[in-house]
Amino acid sequence: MAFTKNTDRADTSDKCSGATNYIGDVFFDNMLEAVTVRSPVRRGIIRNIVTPDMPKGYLTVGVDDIPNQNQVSYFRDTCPFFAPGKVSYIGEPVLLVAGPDPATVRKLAKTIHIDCDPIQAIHSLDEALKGDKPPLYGNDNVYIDETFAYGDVDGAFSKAAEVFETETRTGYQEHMYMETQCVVAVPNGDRLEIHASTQGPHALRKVVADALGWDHERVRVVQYPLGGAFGGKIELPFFLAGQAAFAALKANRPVRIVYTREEDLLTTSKRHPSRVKVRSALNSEGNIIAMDVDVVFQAGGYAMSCVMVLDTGLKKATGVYHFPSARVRGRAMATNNPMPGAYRGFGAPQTFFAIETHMNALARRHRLEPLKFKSRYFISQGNSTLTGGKYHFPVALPEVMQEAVRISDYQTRRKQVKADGRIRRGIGQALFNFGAPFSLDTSSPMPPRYMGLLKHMDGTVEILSELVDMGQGLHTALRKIVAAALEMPIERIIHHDADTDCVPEASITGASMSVVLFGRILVDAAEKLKPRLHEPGEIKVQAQVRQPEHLQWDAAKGKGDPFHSYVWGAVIAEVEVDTLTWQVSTTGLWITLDVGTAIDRRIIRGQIDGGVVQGLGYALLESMREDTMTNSLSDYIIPTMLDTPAIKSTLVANPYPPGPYGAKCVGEPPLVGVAPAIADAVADACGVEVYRLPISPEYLMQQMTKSS
Amino acid sequence: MTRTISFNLNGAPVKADAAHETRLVDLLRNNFGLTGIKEGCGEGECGACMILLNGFPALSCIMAAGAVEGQQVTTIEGLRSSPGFDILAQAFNDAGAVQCGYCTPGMIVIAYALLRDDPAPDEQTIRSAMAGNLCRCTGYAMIVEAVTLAAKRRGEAW
Ligand code: FES
Ligand code: FES
Repeated sequence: MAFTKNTDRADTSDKCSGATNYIGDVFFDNMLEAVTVRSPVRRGIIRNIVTPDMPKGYLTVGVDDIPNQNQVSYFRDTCPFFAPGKVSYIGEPVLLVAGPDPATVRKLAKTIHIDCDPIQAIHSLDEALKGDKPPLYGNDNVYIDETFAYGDVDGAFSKAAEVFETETRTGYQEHMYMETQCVVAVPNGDRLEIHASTQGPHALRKVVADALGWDHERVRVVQYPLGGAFGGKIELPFFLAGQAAFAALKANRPVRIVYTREEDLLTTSKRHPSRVKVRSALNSEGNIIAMDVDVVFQAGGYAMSCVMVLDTGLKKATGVYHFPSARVRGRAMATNNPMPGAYRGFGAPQTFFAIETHMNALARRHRLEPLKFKSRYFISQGNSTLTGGKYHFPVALPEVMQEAVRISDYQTRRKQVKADGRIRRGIGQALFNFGAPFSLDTSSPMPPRYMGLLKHMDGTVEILSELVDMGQGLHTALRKIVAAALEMPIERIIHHDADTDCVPEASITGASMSVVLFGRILVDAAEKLKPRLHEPGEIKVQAQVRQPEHLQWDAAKGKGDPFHSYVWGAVIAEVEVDTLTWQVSTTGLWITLDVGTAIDRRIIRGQIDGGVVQGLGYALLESMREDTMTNSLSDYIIPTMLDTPAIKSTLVANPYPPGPYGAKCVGEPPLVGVAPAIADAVADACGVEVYRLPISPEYLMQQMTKSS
Repeated sequence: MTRTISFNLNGAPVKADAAHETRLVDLLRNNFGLTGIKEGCGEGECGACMILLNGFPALSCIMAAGAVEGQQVTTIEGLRSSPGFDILAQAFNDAGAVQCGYCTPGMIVIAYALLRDDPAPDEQTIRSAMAGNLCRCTGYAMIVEAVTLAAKRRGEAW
């Protein structure tokens, strides 16, 4: 099956005319506006909260108004809706003020005074590791510490002829979805409705119901179009929805929380800052015999999803290589900072920056052509994974690399003269893979999850799934898959935004699993429906979510196939460095991806362009101080139209048999290789290694001064 | 303290009561229900709240409502029925320039003004003119292509 035509998305015309209603555009009768009152300090015990008398119709809502539990039940570790008597980061929610007039609510919120006895705060991952401040979590600040390894790593290091070590560091990256967080809670009889901008309607329903101590069915979540998400609307909506729910029940009125950009920047999740040490052991022929990777992520005042993000990043930390032996250890540290969380790439941008930078620096040190050097260690089909599983399917890495080299004319550009007056030119590359979806334990039965199809009386077929189109074009891709399976015109296939009263629970939308996994389940459902299409009346079918047959994963031991499938990719970047200002500008970006079968090339290109530009921002521009001074879009710089070069992308077809018509994923991979490729290009231009993101002029100048 | 403001909104004379500190974006969204105007930052950095003031692009989040007294305000809703809008919307569709759509009304408003004043802008002109409008989803290239396409198809639209 080849998908040769691009499909027009059903949502485009309303989005152009401004007719699309995001949740912030919807006004409910008698709705109250709520503003969050936050911790003014990094760490302390709350001694007293001084609240002025509330005018009639205005109220405060805090810990005491939580009917059941002050815990977001989605997370393993403590994660409260409101500060539980102590605060762990600046901006932690302490209470809400709600009332009819937003300006009055804001004024009231400003007059509330939170008195804290300060405790010595842990500012950074280094301080958390050092452990000379009172611990924030356990007795060592470590939310998670895990290791994956194979072969005799220590033995290899003890007999190595050369040991090469690098240390890379990366900072926060903010999602900067254009629509800030917004949720409305609406009491309705003995039920509660949550109208939200979320990536996980059913997960959100559970979190709210658990907090209220209600049966899940009493909560209904209605999904609205998302104004961007990128992973940033999985975790935060849990908090907002819970808080709005407590307020709505107390006031018995609809309550809305909408974040200002400042609040959103200061307090919502971001990419985890990281420090990664990579050590390689080489024998006397200059071949790598062992790779040892030590990853530390800076998590925040509460763990949130750092366990999952770190775990996923670790499983990818040896990159596209199979070494004779390898060990990857990772820790996520508690600090008194805003909580990082899920963000496109989910741990991989940090670990790929580390491994690719290490391999590129090592090649330079040995004066070897980097791609040739790296290809010695390429993973091939049948190789084992870091976790002792297997690469079951063809590995298109050599093809992807050659294609990227061809479209960028990499070899010619490499030979070009580097210096031109004060400008230096450089070209760099990075190789990556992206495993997705992550595997669930295969020895125990999966929780029952379903995707459904509903044939209406008029013959149109509706996809019953809670999967969220956050702009990435997912609903169009799923409609296309179902249309192909039913051999129906795509115009007759519908996918609405989710309503938990109408669609079954499947999953949050993220981790690049929607097309490759749930698309396949929709094909199963279509196979059930197809022979019955001619029957009169409504027909509803469901297919149970199942993992593909090749998969073996022992979750308790961390052994087996960590991911279902792998996307393979290569990025080439060309930069100019101004040696007066040390400003780096990207003059060309080329990317080749193997996404299996392409379902819609125009949508895929949108994902590639968008992901690459977020990667470019990560590499060069986006930086956030940990002291909460970065609180506006004028301080936190994302790429504009003038910062983005032409991006040329191509695809290599390598269908993945268990995927729908051979498709894999495309949402996250494009971001992952960009920063290491740009760093390599800067290193090529300047003759110094680049170990830090973003590559600021200050950092580059320091590196140049050090080397001269 | 409130005062009454009279201005021309999308071709019709209107009046509204607004407090001194009311921002134009809030007046237009809350009093007139013009929610096609989005707020992305509230500080003049993203372009999501863009409108035309006497025909020129302006940011409604950093304008006091009172500043439009006696002026002409056009929002995305006011452009909807113009032939230029149809051409732009079709081009945005064809070029795949819309993902989450939150930046899109602002992008269309500024592209509308650009194409009115410059029938055939080159890529650099488009990028410079629209650099104040942020998009986090598309990486911009497909938006630039959409505007180029609209310019090619402009006919007598402007
Ligand atoms: S909301 Fe006005 S410029 Fe961002
Ligand atoms: S399409 Fe999402 S911000 Fe532009």
